[in-house]
Order: sequence, then C-alpha cells, then structure tokens
Amino acid sequence: MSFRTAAALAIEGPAPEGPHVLTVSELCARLREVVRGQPQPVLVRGEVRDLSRAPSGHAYFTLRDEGAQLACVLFRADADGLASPLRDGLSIVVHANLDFYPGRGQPQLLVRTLRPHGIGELWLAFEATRAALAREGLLDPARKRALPRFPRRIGLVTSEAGAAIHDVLHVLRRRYPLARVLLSPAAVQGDGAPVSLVEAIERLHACGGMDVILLARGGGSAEDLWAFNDETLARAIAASRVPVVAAVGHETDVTIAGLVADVRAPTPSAAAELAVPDVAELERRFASHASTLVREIAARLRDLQQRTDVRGAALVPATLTARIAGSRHGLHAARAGLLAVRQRLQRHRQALESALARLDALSPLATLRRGFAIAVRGERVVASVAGVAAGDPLLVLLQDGDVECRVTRTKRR
Amino acid sequence: MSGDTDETTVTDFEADLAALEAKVEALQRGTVTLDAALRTFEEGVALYRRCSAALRTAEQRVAKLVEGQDGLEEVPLAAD
Repeated sequence: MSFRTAAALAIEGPAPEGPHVLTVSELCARLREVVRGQPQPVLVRGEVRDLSRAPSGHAYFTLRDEGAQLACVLFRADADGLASPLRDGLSIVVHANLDFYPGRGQPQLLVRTLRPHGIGELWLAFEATRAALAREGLLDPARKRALPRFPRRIGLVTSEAGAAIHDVLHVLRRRYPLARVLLSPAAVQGDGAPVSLVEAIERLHACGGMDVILLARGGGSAEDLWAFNDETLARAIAASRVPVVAAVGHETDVTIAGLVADVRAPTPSAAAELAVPDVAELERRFASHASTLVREIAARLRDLQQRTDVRGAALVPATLTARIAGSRHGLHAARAGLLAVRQRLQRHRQALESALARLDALSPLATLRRGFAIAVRGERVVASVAGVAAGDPLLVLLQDGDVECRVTRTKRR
Repeated sequence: MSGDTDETTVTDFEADLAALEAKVEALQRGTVTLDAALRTFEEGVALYRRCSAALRTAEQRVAKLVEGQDGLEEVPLAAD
C-alpha cells in the first residue's frame, strides 16, 4: 500500500482513529500468548512423519492423524535420552508444551517425553529390563570385549528364512571367505523367539570353537523386533564365552540385545563387516612386506657385489653360494605366486618384479648362469693370475656345483 | 561333533603377519650376518607364499548346526 493510498484511506475512514494495523510480528506475538495460555502441558497422540535430525541434534517431526498435523520439536538433550528411538510411521503419545513459532507463523509442540502408543506396556518392560541390567553392570562399556582380528569360526544366530542371513553370508564371502560359518538357526520374532535365540546361542557354545558370534535380524516393526529385548536373551549374550556382535533391525532400532552385546552393529551387513578383515587389504599387507624383504636382501647382495668388484676379493664361500641359490629359488616361486595376483596387486607386483630383476642382475649367480665360472682360492675370488701359483688348490664355482682343482701353470695375457 | 575338522589347517594370519613383520624389521636393522639375513629372507618369502596362496584360494564354507540323534551335527550348507 503506497503512502498516498494509505493517507486517502485514513482520511476517508469511518472513525478518526481508524482501524489499528498490526505488523505480522505483533499479531504473531498475540497468537503466541493465546497459544501459551492454553492448559499446559498437553498429552497428544499421533503418528510420526517427516522425522529429521538437525546437525544441532534436535529432532523435528510432524505429528499427524487422519485430519490434522502439528509440527514438533524434540530438543537434543531429550532426543538423546529416549529409551526407544523415533521413526517415521511410529504411533506415539507425546508429553509436550504447546507453543507458537513466529518464524513460520505456526503453532508447534515442544516435546519433553514420548512413548510408543499401543506398546506402552512393552515399553515399560524395556525400561525395567534395561535398568536391571544396568544395575548389575552388564551394560558397562568396560565389559565390552574386542573382536578377534582374524576369526576362523563364526557362529551365526539368525533365521534361515530371513534377509539377514543372505546379507551376512554375502559380506563374509566377499571380505573374508577363510572364516568358517556355523549357522545356528533361530526364530527371530514371535512368542517363541526369545527361547529359540537363547538355545541357538547355547548350541554354538556346546559345539565350541567359535571365535565370535553374530546375532542378526533384518528390519521390522518395534513389535517384530521385540524378542531382542528379552531379559533371558540379554543374559545369554552377557554370559557368552566369545564376543557377540548384535545387529537387529536398522540403525535407529535400539534393543536390549544391542545394548548388552560386545559390539552393536547398525545392520546385519555391517555386523559382518565388523567381524572380519578384508582379504584384499590383508593380501596387500603381506605383499608389501614381501616387497620390503626383497628390497632389503637385494641391497645386501648389491653391497656384496660392489665389495667384490672393487677389491676383487673377500667373497663367496661355497656354502654361501648355495644359500643364495636357495633364496633365488624362493624368489622365483614368490614371483610365480605374485603373477597370480597381478590384477589385484598391480602396484606391489611391479615393485617386487623390479626388485627381483635387480636381484638377478646383481647376484654373482647371474655370472654362473651365463656359463662363466668363479675361481676361489681360500676365501678369496681369484681376479688376477698374480693371485695364484702352480700347485695352488683352487675351487671353481659353476652353475650346478663346485670343482676342486690344482693350478698346473699360470700365463699372463 | 561331526563334520570335517580341518580348521587346524587354516592359516593363523595374526601370527604369520606378525612373524613376517618381525622378519622385515630384522632385515631392515641390517645387523645380522649375511647368512642369517638370507635365512630370514627365505623364511619370509615362504611365509608370504603360503599366506598369499591361502588368501587367494579360500572358499567360503557354511554349515548348519542341527540337533541330530547323537547330539549336535554340522550339516554343510550350499552357498547361495
């Protein structure tokens, strides 16, 4: 509205004082007073939608039913303290203060606490179990055991029919097929599930030889996952003789089993990833060490060769020659092995190959292989006729052995 | 317990990796005699070959634990 029009309206207005024009802020401030003046706090039932967690840690979601919706905020401290996690679609009852947010011009609920609607009893049971286990120290981080780095035998407790078994086996096969997997089947939902899970763990222990146990179940509703909040199961996990990795549902699903396990994984696949090393990474480490070995021994032999060249002396008793021949044999075998892993280990293979090539060139044995002989008198290589006289014993080193001989005559060229 | 018991032949990578690292360090220190260095080298190469072969040739084996007439039994499970 331009000033001119406003002025005209004011002049033509019915009353001298005219209608009071509010700013948006003023109106919103009034609305906030009205909203805040409602009986507080309120208990509101609805379904969670559009849940998001801001970087600040505050959770934002919409609480809705068939005909209406309300924006909700759950501040970080309250969100962190939730016994049971929020997720879209969950039916909940919130305990909240009603407020009005002028920035969006809409009312919102400042949620203090909440609980799942319809499984309220179970929720209370969850809290009771958690408290009991915590009192006994079974949730103490200090109790958590480290997982073995290279497990040989992995016990897998899950349903034969579920999605989790495929995910776990797939990841284990890809990362570390060396580990043997022993499946101990169990029901993972329903009334009989807790007992079935406990028995499956006990069977693994009776069988023995496990290095780690994976307890896995794919995603599902809070009710579907409920067996994993069973106290007897929690105690079986706590009493396990080997570390237990629990992966139940998705990342946001908190279960008692997850709390008491040595490691809680966000998903069954992640549990498998955590339980075993990566075979490709392991190969790289072994190959890298082997390369270093070759480099070091090549340096030693190079050093030896240089001393021989410079001083024409001080080398190669026959026993040492044999040793070098033996190591060359080992190198050739290593080279054959390396060729087989060429594609995965290209970089290391090239380094090792080049070291092997250098070693070939440097070794005194390369001389012998080309059909030359090395003459040794005592412990010294004979580099000049000046070094021997008629009647001297000589050891002549050949590619496949030594010849003991005696000098009959010397002739300078 | 039934089923094959050949996990005793499974390579102990933890020990082997540590042994190989020790050999690398021994060579890098350079204080050993040539003879000892060669022996260390030979052993290291043998270790590498064995582990590398084990890593490359491994195939996943999965068994299912079932309650049999004579107690627990391990039944091989085909990989999916």
